[in-house]
Amino acid sequence: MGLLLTGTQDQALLAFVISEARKVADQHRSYLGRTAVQKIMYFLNNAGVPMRYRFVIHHFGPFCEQILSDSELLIADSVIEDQSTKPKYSDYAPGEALDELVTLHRQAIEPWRETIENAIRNLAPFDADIMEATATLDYIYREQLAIRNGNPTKESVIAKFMKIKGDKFQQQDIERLYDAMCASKAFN
Amino acid sequence: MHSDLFRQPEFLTEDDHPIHRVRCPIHGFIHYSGNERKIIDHPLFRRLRYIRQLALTELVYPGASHTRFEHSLGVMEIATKLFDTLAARYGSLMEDKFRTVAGFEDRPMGKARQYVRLAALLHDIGHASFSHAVEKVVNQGGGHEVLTCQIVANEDLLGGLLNRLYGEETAAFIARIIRGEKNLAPQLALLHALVSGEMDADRTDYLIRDSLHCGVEYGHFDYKRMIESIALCENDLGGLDIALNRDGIHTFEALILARYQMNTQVYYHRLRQLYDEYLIRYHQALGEDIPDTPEKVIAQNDVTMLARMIQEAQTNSSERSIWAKRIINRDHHRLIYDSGFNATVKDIKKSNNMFGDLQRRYPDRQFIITVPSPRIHSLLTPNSEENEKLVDLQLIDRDGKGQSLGFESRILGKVPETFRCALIFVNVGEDEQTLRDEIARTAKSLSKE
Repeated sequence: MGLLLTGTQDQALLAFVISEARKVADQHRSYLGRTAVQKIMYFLNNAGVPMRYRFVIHHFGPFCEQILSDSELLIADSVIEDQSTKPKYSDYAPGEALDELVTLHRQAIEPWRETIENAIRNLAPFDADIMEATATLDYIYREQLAIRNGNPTKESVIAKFMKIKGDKFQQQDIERLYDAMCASKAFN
Repeated sequence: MHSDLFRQPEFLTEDDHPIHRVRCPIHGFIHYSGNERKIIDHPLFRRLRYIRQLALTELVYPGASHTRFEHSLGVMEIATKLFDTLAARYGSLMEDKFRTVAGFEDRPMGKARQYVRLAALLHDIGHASFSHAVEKVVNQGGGHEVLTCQIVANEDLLGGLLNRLYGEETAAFIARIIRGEKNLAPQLALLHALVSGEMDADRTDYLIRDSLHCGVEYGHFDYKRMIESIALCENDLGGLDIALNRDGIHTFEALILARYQMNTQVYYHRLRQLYDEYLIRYHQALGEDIPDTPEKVIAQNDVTMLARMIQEAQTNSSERSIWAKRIINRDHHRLIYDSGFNATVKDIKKSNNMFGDLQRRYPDRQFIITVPSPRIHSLLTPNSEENEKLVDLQLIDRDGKGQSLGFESRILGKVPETFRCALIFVNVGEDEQTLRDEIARTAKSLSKE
């Protein structure tokens, strides 16, 4: 069966990212859910990976509706699979038509392979706390950046983070995450 | 919470007072300033007079020939009413928040009000001909928001005029507010939400306006009550979120139901979907003439494209003429399978397989499949599958405390966040009813396998 519902470069990139993230999720024995995919794509967007996905920022974190609907089309075309057995969750994995779609746009994706692999490694193992922390750090950074002569520093962003989140997170974990976000150009 | 003194709207200069007016079938008179008039009269904005709001929906609902021009004015009017209602009640809070943003230190409320008006007025200026219908294939699939921001921010397009009228950096700010993306300061996210959020000016205007012009009642709701009920609350991170006073819960429920009904009955009507598909195929057959750059998109509108189609429908010279004939002669494929609006991803996959099977069984027939999946709302409710992407809209009680609207409402949890369906059409003539019935039966039996 050929691809009927998918075929764009964005969809190929999304499928490729899911297949790469799946490998890392397997190493960590973790799930690869919708939220994790959203965040990975967001950081890749910040890192300059070409895509037309548009992320809306709110205090729950960056979100792109098109990624959600493209994921469903990728499933319908067997490019990816949702292996979750629980109806409210998702656990993405490559499907039988993955290569067919990725091959169509291999030339555009290949130059970004290393960036994609790095971002995925930095965000592993994709758990909910990390996602919440990245979204909050991102929000605070942008809020401080907007202020006149604003110069968000690691100290100022983390200080506000700890004030908001209290003792839910360890400061050293958040500092590590902040460094990883800088490394993946999340604050571009 | 309502500790603020009532605030009158603040105008930045003499030229920003609303001295002009125009009639609107929804809002009565819409007032605008001399500066705004210069934008409304700009050729890039005037172009919206020739872009229909609902593409070829006019082939299904003949009244639906209204344009993006009148809608844009309507969105400006509603966004202003929403802003003024909030400013009257929460002016100090808003002012404090906006003032922290670089560029908003001086007269933050006047600036924010003007910017939200401009963002609302210009939010659709990048639409290609036929609005959403061909977005996937023109301008390299960039979508109208991308082009809107380019037009607004580009000094040689509208950016120069905006900066001259309202000061440097205005164009960049307006583009950020329209797009609402990562480069918009969180302190200003409220302005984006007023134009395009869960309780926004854009959707409010198009639901009511499209209902009026289509001659349907589905999109009507008491939006005046909704505007009166709008509220603000601070989120955990110190930003401002739109909220709703408790007395507005019923009109908000009506808004969500209106969205559901308009999507199922008008925007995703089966024939509308099919004609959108014809438009896509026509554009794909344009070859080098496809509007694949911003300049080419801006140079076209519905009138120029329809004139071209009318000519090409009279020839047999190209693939374009096949699709032009379908559109101009209103000669369409026939529906033979409808999954219903509650299709799961599994159902879509099955429909997709069925589509392949039908093509193999009837090789001399052309089949078309459409799979829309629009979002109705993004509200957190007890039935929500993925909390993070959803908006936890707060319902504000008299004591100022907030409750989750999605949990308080008995209705919102029942309205699906999205709907999804697969439709399969085949090219049979009106005199081939027997064949159409046979194919439909085959499709039905395949769907049960």
